[in-house]
Amino acid sequence: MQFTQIEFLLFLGLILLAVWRCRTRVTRNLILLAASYYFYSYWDYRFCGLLLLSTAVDYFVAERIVRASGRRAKRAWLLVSLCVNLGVLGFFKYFNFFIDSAAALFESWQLHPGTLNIILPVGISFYTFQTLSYTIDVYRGKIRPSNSLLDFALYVAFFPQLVAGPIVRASELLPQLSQRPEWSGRRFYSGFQLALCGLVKKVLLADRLGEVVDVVFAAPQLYGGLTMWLAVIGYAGQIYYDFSGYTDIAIGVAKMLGYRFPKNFRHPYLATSVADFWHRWHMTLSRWLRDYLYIPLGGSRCSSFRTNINLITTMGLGGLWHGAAWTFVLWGLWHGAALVCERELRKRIELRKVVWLGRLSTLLVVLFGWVLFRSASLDQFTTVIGQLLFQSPGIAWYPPLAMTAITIMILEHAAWTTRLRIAMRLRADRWYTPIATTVLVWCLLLYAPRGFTPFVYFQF
Amino acid sequence: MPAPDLRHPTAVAILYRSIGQLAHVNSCNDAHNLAFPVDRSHPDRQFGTAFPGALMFRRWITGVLIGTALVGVTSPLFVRSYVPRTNDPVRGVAVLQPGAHYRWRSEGYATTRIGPMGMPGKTSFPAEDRSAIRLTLWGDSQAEGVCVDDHDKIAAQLSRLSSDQIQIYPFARSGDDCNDWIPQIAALAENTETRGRIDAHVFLIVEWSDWCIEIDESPESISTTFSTISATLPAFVIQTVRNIITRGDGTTRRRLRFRPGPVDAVRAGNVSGPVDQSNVRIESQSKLLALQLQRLRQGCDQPCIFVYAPMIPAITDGQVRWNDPDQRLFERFQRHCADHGFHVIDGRPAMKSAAIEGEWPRGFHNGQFGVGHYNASGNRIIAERLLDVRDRITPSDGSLSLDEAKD
Repeated sequence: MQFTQIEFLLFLGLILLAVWRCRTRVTRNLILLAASYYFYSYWDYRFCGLLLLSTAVDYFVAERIVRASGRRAKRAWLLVSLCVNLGVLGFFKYFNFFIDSAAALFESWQLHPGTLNIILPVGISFYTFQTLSYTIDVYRGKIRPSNSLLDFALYVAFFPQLVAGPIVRASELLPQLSQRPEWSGRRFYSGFQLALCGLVKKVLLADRLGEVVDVVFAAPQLYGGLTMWLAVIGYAGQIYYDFSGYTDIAIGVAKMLGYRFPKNFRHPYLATSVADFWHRWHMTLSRWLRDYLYIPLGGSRCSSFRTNINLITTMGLGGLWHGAAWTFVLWGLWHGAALVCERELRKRIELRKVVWLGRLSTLLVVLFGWVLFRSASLDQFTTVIGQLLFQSPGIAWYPPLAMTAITIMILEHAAWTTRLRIAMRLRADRWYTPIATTVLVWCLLLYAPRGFTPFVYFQF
Repeated sequence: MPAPDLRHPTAVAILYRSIGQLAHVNSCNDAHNLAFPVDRSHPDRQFGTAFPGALMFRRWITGVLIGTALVGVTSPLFVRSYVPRTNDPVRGVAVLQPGAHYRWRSEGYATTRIGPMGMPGKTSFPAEDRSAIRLTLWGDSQAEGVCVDDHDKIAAQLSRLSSDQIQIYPFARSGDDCNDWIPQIAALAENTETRGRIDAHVFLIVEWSDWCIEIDESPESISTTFSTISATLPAFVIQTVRNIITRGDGTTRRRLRFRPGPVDAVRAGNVSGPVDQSNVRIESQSKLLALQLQRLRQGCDQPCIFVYAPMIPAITDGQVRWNDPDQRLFERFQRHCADHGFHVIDGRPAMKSAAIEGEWPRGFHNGQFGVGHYNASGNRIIAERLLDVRDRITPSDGSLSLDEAKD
């Protein structure tokens, strides 16, 4: 089930009504758990077993880690969790990728390995990282294991964040689930506004841009250089509004239910450096990679060379997390290399002095990265880059709706740097809020593109 | 508006109370959070401490009205129109109401004025000129020139290119096929006001499905409900309801699904097979085509000209399709036309040349190039190809008059 479907609105209405009437916390959590499993099974009921497996293994392993006496035993239990979670993720997401990548090697041995027809379970990357963070935090002694299987199962499967994040830590959500949230009109309204803004971002901006981006990237050789630039900028807008729209809806829905999720985006295209970009883009993934990969590798507390290697490794694996394709790995490595360059430059030059230059250069690095991210193959990537740089002739296509969406993106980012951002929050006590809300709802009903477009991050 | 008595809870009172609670909660928050103002001097305070529910209620009601008005006023810029249909006594079919303006907003951005007898883009008949050739144009939405400005439609471009020596009366309607055109041609021939005043009939063939169909002589039914809705409700309201109750194509009724997945791909309609090029298919299509052409010949004395301009060149799945997959059927068609004395114009080479030069005949900036309807260039190419009829058709002495047509 997707947040943009009418079915979801009806589902959410029922859930809100049910939990509002609920007297006890356990009943409330039971309803939410059942709703979350239904939400997941709406896509494919057969994969609910994976969710159950992940939940059961990590709940059990966390208890065992606490009970284990020696460090070795604790580590062994942690290893069990890592093997199961990463094994499941590796099989479902990366099996065919590794087989394809090693095909040349196999063929030199006269072996012809076939690939399996494996369906990628929706949200597996997100809930795997979430359960892993729980077990690792328990192992590190940062949190105590949950004493309620119901709460933990709900933490793993909670429907607003189940399929595309934000990646919520156990320390953030489990304490909230262990008590019944009080009804708050303010929180409900705030959640509603956030969800509405998320829908607008997804349906009116991301999907409109996607219509153009998909067509141009399907045949980049046919389109002229300027159209290609439009498509690349459009993709930057599409992926941002798609993912941040999803996150806004997730956070908004959770808020309406009485729970608080961490922020995931902070206008990333206003970043003044690549490091700053990663503090603004998919923030929950960035901090996950930082805490569970970069720091364990040694972080920046080692030699400069080793730190640079750590950065590149972390970003490369972060790229691989996004998808089983070399373009994703290269995208991660590209960002890693940019972070390294920036780090080295920072030692020699004071980069913060010229903000606009920082923003522009970061934007170019990010845009180049998005070309890698969006390209289905390296051939397509080279074609797109060729069109961008050498301005080859081709179809000159400038769709007004996509140009409008890009203009809105630029204006929205510009407004965010001014006092106008207060108005953009649509506070309930402002005279314009009812008008703006009505217009947004009408626009959603009236101008949503026909046809159904899934969220970009569902494929990860 | 008087505030309701909260001692007797009615639906309105409950709503007021809820808003009041919401407002009360918000009034307790700091300045950085959402804060509802509490006007202590306001008369609503009589309902209890800090109860600005009535104020909020009024504000939201006003806001909803203003917001809706804003959307309504600006919607003609972005939303297509819905024009009622009326029965045209001359053609004997339902046509868009003459005098109406039809806004196209999906692919191209244009407004079409509906002329007499429901002719799109042709609002008046030119002054009688006995030397001009008068043609009717039959076809579907491609011939109708949807999403194309009136001065770029085939009729206007042909008139310009021929210095008004060829006049086209565009009778094409979106969704029509030969079962609609042939009876209309017969009706025009029988009508005393139009008989003998048309020199030839032109058919634009884009899809073979418009001709390769069984003969159907059942009369067209006009939905009065849709016409009433189109005439009374604003377009943005109709469009909103349509968006909610139909799926992506705008016509199939939306069905909500609540059962768990996976969804069968076949049932979801995601399967598209390759074009069937088998002899069996071509034979059956050719047979249907022959029957329809024979029917046309029997019902029409005037010369008939077919312009073949199928969906190529096209961009599908990231590839440019240059070759016509229906070439064999077209060859059969040419033979049938030769048997009946119909003239065939092949529009494909001109379309291909235009695309090679970067001027795609189909698609719009608002939609996508290489797919969809013919744009201004496509309409011009068709008009240019129709200039050839000057060598084949001689004008008769009859002419269609606007006043007569209106009757």
